[in-house]
Amino acid sequence: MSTEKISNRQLWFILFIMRSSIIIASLPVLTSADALQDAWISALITLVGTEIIVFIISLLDIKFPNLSLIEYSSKLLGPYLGRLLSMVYLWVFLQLAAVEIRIYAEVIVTTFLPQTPMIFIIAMMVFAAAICVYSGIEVLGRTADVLFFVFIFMILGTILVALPYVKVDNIQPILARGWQPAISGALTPMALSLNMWVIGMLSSTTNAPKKILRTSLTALGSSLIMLVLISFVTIGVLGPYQGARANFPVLTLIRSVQVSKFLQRTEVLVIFAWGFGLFISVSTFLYSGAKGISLWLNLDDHRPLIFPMAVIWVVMSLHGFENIFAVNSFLKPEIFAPYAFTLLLVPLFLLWLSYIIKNIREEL
Amino acid sequence: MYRKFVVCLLIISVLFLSGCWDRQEPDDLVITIGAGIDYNPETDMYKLSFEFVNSLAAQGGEGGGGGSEKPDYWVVSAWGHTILDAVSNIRKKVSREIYYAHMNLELISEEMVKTKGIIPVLEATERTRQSRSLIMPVIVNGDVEEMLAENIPIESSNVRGLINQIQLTNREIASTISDNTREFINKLSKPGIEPVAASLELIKEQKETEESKPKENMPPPVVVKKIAVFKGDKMAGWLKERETRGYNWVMGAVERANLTFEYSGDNQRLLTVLVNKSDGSFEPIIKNGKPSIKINVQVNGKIVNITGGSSNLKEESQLISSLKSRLAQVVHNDIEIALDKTQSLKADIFGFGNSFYRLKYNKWQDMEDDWRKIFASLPVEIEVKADIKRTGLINKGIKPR
Repeated sequence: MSTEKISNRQLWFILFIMRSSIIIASLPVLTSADALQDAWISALITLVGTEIIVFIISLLDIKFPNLSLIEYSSKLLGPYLGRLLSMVYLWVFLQLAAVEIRIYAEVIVTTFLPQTPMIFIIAMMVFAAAICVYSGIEVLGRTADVLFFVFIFMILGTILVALPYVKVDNIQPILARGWQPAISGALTPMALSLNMWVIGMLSSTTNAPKKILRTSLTALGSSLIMLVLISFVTIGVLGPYQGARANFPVLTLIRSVQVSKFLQRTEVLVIFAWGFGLFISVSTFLYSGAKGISLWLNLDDHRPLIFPMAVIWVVMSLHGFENIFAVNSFLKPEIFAPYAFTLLLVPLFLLWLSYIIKNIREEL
Repeated sequence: MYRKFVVCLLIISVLFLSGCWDRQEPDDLVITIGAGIDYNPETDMYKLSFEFVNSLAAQGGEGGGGGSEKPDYWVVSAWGHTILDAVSNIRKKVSREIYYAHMNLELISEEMVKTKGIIPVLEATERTRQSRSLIMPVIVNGDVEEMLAENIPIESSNVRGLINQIQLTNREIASTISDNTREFINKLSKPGIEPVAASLELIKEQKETEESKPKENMPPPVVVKKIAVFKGDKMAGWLKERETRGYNWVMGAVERANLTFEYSGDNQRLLTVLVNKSDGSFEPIIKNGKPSIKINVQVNGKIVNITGGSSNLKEESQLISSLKSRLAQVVHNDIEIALDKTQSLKADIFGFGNSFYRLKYNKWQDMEDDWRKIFASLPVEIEVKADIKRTGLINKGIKPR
């Protein structure tokens, strides 16, 4: 099959950026539920929960180091049920990418380019991603190599700029209302780890698929530690109420602090980081989607599928939501969490079940 | 061939990279640096005034000293049913596109914050994309438009002058505060704490004299005097200079302050101490189910002025320790009058309630609903530790013979 390979380091970067970009852009730990000052605890819960989910996904990938998610689903569950299940992943890739682009476009339209048609912003981003994917997974990996350092520099820059304004008063009282608000705040970001199905698509293209577990766990661990820091700083500076009120809290944060009298408008840090992060994330989804469909239909090459899919993507993210209210209510824990966990846990359960049954059968 | 085509395409594409549909040329913009908001309760309308800077004059530099004949700034105002409605009415009067991102100051009239509340202003600041919460909200006792249009000596733009005046007053003598919108909203939306805002006052005497003498020495037009105390989103009253300093002691927000008091054992002589280091904090206490607050303030100062007579401050003595306790007493009195005033207004600007919320959450739940009433009679213990660290360049006063 494919001879294109990326290194595990590149996969690490891709996973880190994917997990960080959207979750930092909309900071759902704070905005999706009423976690308020405990949102950073929500972030910690997210960290633990995501690590567990990713552990289960990656463990499965280790069992089939040279097969992608689509292939081993068919192998485990038989061609028909396996293909049915594969549709779930393909749908996830399609939809989550659409949601992420939409949020990004909302940020840009709300804050910087109100006159620019949203289709233009979305189409440009998807087009760039399509070119990247068309050039192959290796190009994507190298892009991640380059952009990772820009990305991490900007995220750390954001934290450092805002850090002097943090007031610990805003964090207290810790867990005064019990664990329930903190857990409800963690649901949506944890459910967003639905996008970690891409590990299944990417792991077989890495140099050392056997080491995938370490790669994915450390990548997600560090990206979610970033999330904990960002949410801590955001609440510490803005206070829980002002932060929860904002559509894009980190942007509000960076707009309301100044490095010095002469250096204040540093929101470019955040916007660039999101742009780069989103680019990597959309490219990865596009690759996974195109590759997935080509495997699903037994095609030789996934490249002819990329541009048609890109068009579908643009339409999806443009018309999937009528307005920002629709985006926000889609990401509410009571809607998004059951939806995402179903799409995440049911396939996982089926895959593991059949794997175990198969093993037992072979032993007998 | 293919390559050449791509290169050409890339070069051409640069032409379109100037900002999509939102391209703005600086020549078409007028930059607003300050706003004034007034409110008429009878018609329920807002009057918005913008101060625009003349960008040509601003870039002229100090050396030029008036290269252009036109004034450095321009104030335009209009009425509207909401703030943004008023903006669209200003739109009709201005020849360029208005650019808000450099707005630094919002002057809000006392009338507005007393009748309507401050929410409309904060809401507009938070929601619109160009304004930022770095803007400082300032309450004006008088006409806001007049204040914006006031010509401040030395300064080329009076908004910058007003902000400097507030910030320096806060830093040098601690008799005002310089909270920006973010800090204001933060206090407004947290439980158990009420916001405060700086305030400016126009000195009107000069208006009576004839105005056509530009060379004549101009009396200072604006003074920073008191701070506005809020109760929720509406203004409840004022804190005077000493009360404000008392507030700042408790909050640990005093950077420098000059305190003047009587020299020990001689009521003819006065002594000024410059406090250049201070720290203030408070802790919530619940004793026998009753809430109380303990304030700890620490001040270090140096003697900057004694009005006369011989004084020997060379070594540790009874005199020094008596001066220390007098210094502590002055700080204590500041805090006490600030407390008396805020308790009579029932406005907990210190955040005592918030400290219960943060540290004694279970108890706070019982008190939350009538916290303002509890605050009005809350027992507060004040402890001030004062030290005089140095005496300036001399250690004895001049002794006439």
